[in-house]
Amino acid sequence: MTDETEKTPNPLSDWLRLQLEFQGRLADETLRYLRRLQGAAAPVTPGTVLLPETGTELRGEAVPGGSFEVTLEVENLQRVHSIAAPVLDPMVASSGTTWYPEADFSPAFSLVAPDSMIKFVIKVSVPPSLPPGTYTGALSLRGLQQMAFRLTVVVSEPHAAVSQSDKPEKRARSSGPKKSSKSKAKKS
Amino acid sequence: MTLTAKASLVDVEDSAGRTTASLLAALVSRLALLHFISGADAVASLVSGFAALGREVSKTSAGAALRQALNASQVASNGQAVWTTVRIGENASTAIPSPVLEQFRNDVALLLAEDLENVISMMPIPPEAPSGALPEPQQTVTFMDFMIGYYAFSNEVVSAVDAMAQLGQPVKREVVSHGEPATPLHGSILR
Repeated sequence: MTDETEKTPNPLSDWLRLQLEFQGRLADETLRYLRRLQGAAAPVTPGTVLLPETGTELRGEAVPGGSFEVTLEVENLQRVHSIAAPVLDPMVASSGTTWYPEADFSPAFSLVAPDSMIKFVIKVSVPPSLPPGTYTGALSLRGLQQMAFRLTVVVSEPHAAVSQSDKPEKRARSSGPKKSSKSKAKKS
Repeated sequence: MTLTAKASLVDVEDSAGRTTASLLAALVSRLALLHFISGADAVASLVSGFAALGREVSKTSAGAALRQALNASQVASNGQAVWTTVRIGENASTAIPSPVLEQFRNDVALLLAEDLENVISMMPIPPEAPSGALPEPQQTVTFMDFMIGYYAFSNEVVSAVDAMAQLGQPVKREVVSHGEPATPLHGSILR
């Protein structure tokens, strides 16, 4: 009996529930809009913009287990001190692999006086287990992430990179054309 | 392999820019505004500002790792439960986020300004007029956004104070041989 009465639709209670939801939502949106209007009259906070000088593309190569460095020179063209702290975004490959790079920032944070320059050295270690691919991320400064450098790193196969680095040595060791042809045959 | 990038820090276009006078005027108007809004509004705006910073920091590698680690613990679920029950998130989600990081950096710049005394003597300085444009629509503020933002802000404060201390005291002093000695301890330690 009780189950039947619970299942019986009550149009009045449904209507009341919908009305309450609607009125609640309307009040919420009105409050949000009024807060935005209030925000339009809020005092202006002078801000800083990061302006790249030599393009926003950074492209490099690395091998799993290796590392690479990025130097970022930041000049303060404002009339008062600024703060700069570099940050790296996660790097994503087209295969869907996401790499959260562990980086050593030197320095990690700096006050930058007017008309002065600071140089950040960012050493990024590539994990040995990172699958080869082209990884794309961003390098920017904390709080100024509206503008960022697009960082692309091509991670190649470890043995391919080793064989490439060995090439000049083999050439240097080889004294005649016969040895070089042997090495080519071995590679093939 | 070394990649090189160069960038400049410049003022926002079509603005008065960051000068000692504009920073001081902004601080004064920020404090004056507190007389016209409720305490709840001010706190909600601050919480929303920390959460906005948290969302930005969470996009970085270090921030994402921190967030992931906290999400894996009980902290995230307990925090969100309290957040929802006492309706902190609801209030903060309707507030305009206060630009907490920019305001702090401006205050640091004010502390390091060489012409502050001259500028103070010119008070009152009219603040930059608001553009009148509506701010970005508010986003839902979650506990984790706030926590990550508060962590990043606190880190910024610690780093900035350390950096300012280094400006004033380049040599670490453990022993001072000149000047007035520190007050010696007389009698009982319970004073």
